[in-house]
Amino acid sequence: MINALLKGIFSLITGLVSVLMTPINLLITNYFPNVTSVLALVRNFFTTSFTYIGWCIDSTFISSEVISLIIAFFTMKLLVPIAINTIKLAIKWYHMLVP
Amino acid sequence: MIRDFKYIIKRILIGVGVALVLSFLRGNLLISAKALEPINVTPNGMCWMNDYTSVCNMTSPSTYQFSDRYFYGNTWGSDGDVKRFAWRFNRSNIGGKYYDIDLLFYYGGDTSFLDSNRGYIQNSENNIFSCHIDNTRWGVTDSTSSNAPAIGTAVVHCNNVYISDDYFRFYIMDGQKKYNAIFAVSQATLTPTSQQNVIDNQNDNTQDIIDSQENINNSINNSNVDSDTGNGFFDDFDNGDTATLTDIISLPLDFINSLNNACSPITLNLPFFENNVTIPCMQSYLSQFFPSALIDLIKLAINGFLSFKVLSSLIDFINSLKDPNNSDLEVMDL
Repeated sequence: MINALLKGIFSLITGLVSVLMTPINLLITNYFPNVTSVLALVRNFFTTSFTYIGWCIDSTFISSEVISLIIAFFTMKLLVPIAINTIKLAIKWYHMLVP
Repeated sequence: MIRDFKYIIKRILIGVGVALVLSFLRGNLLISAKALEPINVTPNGMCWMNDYTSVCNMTSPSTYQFSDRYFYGNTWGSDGDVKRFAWRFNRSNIGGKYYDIDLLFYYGGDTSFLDSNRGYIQNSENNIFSCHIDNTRWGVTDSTSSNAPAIGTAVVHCNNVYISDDYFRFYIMDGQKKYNAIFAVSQATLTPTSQQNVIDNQNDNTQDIIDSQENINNSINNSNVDSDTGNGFFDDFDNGDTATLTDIISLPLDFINSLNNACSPITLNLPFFENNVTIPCMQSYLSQFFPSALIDLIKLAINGFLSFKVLSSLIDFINSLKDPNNSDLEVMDL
């Protein structure tokens, strides 16, 4: 369940980033096509490297459950302050609008 | 300083002079050693060195009585010494066929002989003389030409044979027909059987090493290897591929997602090598050598420690939510 939740959060973030970056992506694709090739080299390098992470994690004897727990903890640690501040900001606006 | 410079120049000149003298002496010694190699000439034709033996170029049928001057020693001992003979025969109309050769060992005159096919003889003093010949079949190098020279070798084993007093004759056997005066052979190699075996083993080992090196060379230089693309090693770096900034920004998320990937053996497509290298998963590999209980114990220790640290951090984080000094995270005022 934790994995599914994390994947959902990541998909959401990826979608938001994609929407925000759309103008810049179009600019680069249309006016700097060679840059896209360089970016592809970088992406492919890391994608190829990521295929060996499973082997590396297996070599450290760390189980996938603990990995999920660590990822979930740091995700929560980063998201909770954002959520709290957002709620605080909303309450603050509410008090301003409804005296 | 000038004095030191002169001292260095002087030392260099002395070193160069010593090196020149040594190289001159070394060259002369090599030439001298080479000059000591035996060169044997028979009365019947020109001979030359070939491997362990010298070869005589016989242009006409003849017989030759061996004497001790054609051997390093004049005796075949009782331990079965081995001598190798080689010859070259230029008689016409001998090509395209294979011949047997026969060896007669003459002792005390032309009427007393021992055929290599007849076992041994015993004299009045109960000394046993015996000879036999290996590699009795010999042929012609170029079977398409009847006038090609015939080249062959023979290995002769003898016990208690005195070459200085006795002699051999070789005969060519063409089926049942025997050419009674055929050829003569010169220099022999005096190599005891045990030493010959050692040399043969060394040669075999050397050949094995050469074969293994050739195998390695073939694996590297095999024409089947795709040297243009490096066995697909560079496929992920093709220039035709494109990406956007979103792909780069999403890489950390991809990294986090890949942390939960199951382990799979790594197959390395090394460029320009025919065989791939496969690295197995470490846990499954170690399970072949260590009991599973030990591996589980190690996993329990590592994962327990990490879980403890994460849960401790989680408790601290929850406590920070109630900390009035932390205005960002404090939620008591909500």
